[in-house]
Amino acid sequence: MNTSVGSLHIDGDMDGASLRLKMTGAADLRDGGELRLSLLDVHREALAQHAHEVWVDLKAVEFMNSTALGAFVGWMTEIHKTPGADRYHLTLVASKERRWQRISLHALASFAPETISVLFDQA
Amino acid sequence: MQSPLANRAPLQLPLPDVWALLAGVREQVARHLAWVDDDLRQSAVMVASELVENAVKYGGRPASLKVVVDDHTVCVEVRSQVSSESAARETVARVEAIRAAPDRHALYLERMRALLGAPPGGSMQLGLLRICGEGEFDLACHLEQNQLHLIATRELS
Repeated sequence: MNTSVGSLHIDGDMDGASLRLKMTGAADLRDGGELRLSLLDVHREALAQHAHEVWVDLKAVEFMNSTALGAFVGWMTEIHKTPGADRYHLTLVASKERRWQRISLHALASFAPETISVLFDQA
Repeated sequence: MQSPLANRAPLQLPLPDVWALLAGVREQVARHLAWVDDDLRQSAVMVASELVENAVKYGGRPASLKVVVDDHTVCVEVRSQVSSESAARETVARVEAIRAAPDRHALYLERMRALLGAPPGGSMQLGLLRICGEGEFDLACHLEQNQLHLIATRELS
């Protein structure tokens, strides 16, 4: 899967039972609708492939505005609505060097530690 | 102790009416604050971006951004023409509510938690809370001569 939403680029592929995505660029969206739909596509793909895990490498995303953060919250809502047997674990790979990732992604993951975690790595 | 940042000329920019130019605004703010420690610079860039987005989305023209660094604070100020008086008053009220909160970071987290499970498409109202919760800036807001002023300040560490 390869797609772009504004200047945010999303590349992904299955790796065994994991769906691995890498996002690059910046997500400064006027309207979060298109990113919400793209993340919903990712969610549907993960369910269709019976993925146990989805990894999203965000280290190279230099900026994300609050509208884009809201689209991620929408994705988390979809994961929560998924019945337990089908639910996958979402790991956000983040950079400690990027303040927005350190604080806001960590906050997002803290709401659902059983299904979402943040793994900090160097940029 | 005298900060090496004192008395630098402020950065003043007329704001674009074109969303795609916002990345350039962030770059200019980052360059202007190249002296500041990395953590504070990243916060200020986020704050400027969120405030400018608000002005581009909801404000009228002319609109402008000013970034001022003195011995003690970084100040990011966005002025925009009021395009809807009721919306402007709502913004003032929201900023007052944020200012009155004892823990602004907790308020940001509460809003994110509320969005989790909310139906898609509604108003998120996350940007101003992010400025305080993630950016650790104080917010002030007032209406003056049909202009909305949003001012975010943070002390230099």
